[in-house]
Amino acid sequence: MDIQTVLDRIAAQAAAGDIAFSAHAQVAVRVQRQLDDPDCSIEQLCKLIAGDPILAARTVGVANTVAFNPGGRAITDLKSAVARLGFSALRALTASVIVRQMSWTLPSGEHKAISIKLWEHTAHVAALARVIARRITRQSPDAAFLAGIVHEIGSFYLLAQESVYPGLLRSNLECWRGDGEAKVGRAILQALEIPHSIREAAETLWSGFLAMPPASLGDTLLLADELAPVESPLGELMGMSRREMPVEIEILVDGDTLSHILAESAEEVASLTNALKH
Amino acid sequence: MDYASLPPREIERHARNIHPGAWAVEDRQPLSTLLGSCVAVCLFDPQLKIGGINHFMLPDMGRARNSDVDSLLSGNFAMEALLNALLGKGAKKVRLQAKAFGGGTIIDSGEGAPSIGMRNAGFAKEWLAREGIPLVSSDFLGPWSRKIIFLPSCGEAFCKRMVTNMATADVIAREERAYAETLLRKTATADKKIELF
Repeated sequence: MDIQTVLDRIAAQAAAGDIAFSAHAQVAVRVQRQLDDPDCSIEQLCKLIAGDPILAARTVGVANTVAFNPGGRAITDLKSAVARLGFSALRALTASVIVRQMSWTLPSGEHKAISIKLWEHTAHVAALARVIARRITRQSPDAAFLAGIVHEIGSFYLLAQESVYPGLLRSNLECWRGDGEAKVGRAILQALEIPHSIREAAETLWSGFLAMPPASLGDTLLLADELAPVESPLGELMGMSRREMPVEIEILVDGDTLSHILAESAEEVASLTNALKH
Repeated sequence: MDYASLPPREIERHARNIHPGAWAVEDRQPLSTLLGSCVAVCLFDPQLKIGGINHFMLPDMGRARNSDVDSLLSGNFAMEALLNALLGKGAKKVRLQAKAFGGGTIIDSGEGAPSIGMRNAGFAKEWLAREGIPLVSSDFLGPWSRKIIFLPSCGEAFCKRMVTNMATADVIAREERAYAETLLRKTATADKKIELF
């Protein structure tokens, strides 16, 4: 079967809502639904989150990062962590668990390594997007964070399909970059009931056109993706890698420059990236 | 038509494409160009709401006599042609803002190859600094070709980094090479006409 047919089949399967989440991710999916409930209480949420040790640990860990805790006052309980993060950031964290688990059942070490690098890239993009939203594009930092977390969801899904279509990642993935990624990603974001603004941001990412200077949530995500020091391993497979060549991207922002703002925010980005990686 | 309200892909459909060595000034119609190692500079006058774009490279004159000077003159010509076209339409130099893109390395031709794009990008930055025109955003270098869309009525620019497969890279490189050859021919002709004292 040729790669285009396989990708079309995967996209159709995702579009039909035929996406299986592992038992582990079910907790995160339930938390997402709870967050949509206008009567949702912190107590109910904490009870649910406590059912997933990884989500619980990540919630407390991220709440203690410089990004969410610039004053350095550490907390150890889930309830305080949820209160500090707020529901929007919590939505992003639950999404991170769902995204990450998609490739936990990968067959080989090689694919596991790709998945680890893909998650590392995701963590960098999410942390950078949050800073870019706050300091450059004046978008919602929480929305940008969530957009960063889910921006490679299609790639994680593709990785998970390696067990169904062995050799998939060794194929010519040019058509994945063409519109395969958008088709699959769109379907999964829809299935996860990810907010419209985030799905629109993903569309900008897939189109690849970055407004210079960046302005929208989509530009925020695309710029973060271009700036991430760890590149997507799928991007590398598709020939989109920087191949260690120098790249110069610069933007004037209210008398400041992008590179200066990024240098100033390096600690915040590093703390959040690390909290997401573990 | 309000082009600014359209998504970039739609704007691209309405855009006038600018080839290597060319420039254009418009007050409404979007402009676009496809870059390899060349550079495109967009200039915009926010008060007059008019803008233009060029697409150029510095020719590589090798070890020829006066090669550096000739090369820089060629870059100056590309920039001044765009600037003069804008000034001719009533734009004021003090109001101009710039955005610049390109200088990629789409065909890895071994040692020294990245310096072609670097030289073009470096020239654009230096020229703008020398003329006192602020460079408000730029995306240079890397291994990609770039699609640029520019809206001259509002100064918005979009830059898409693109995977360049061998076929596309060949097409872009061929166009750029043809352009580079015309630059070399021009310089040779000019060389014969100049009398040095």
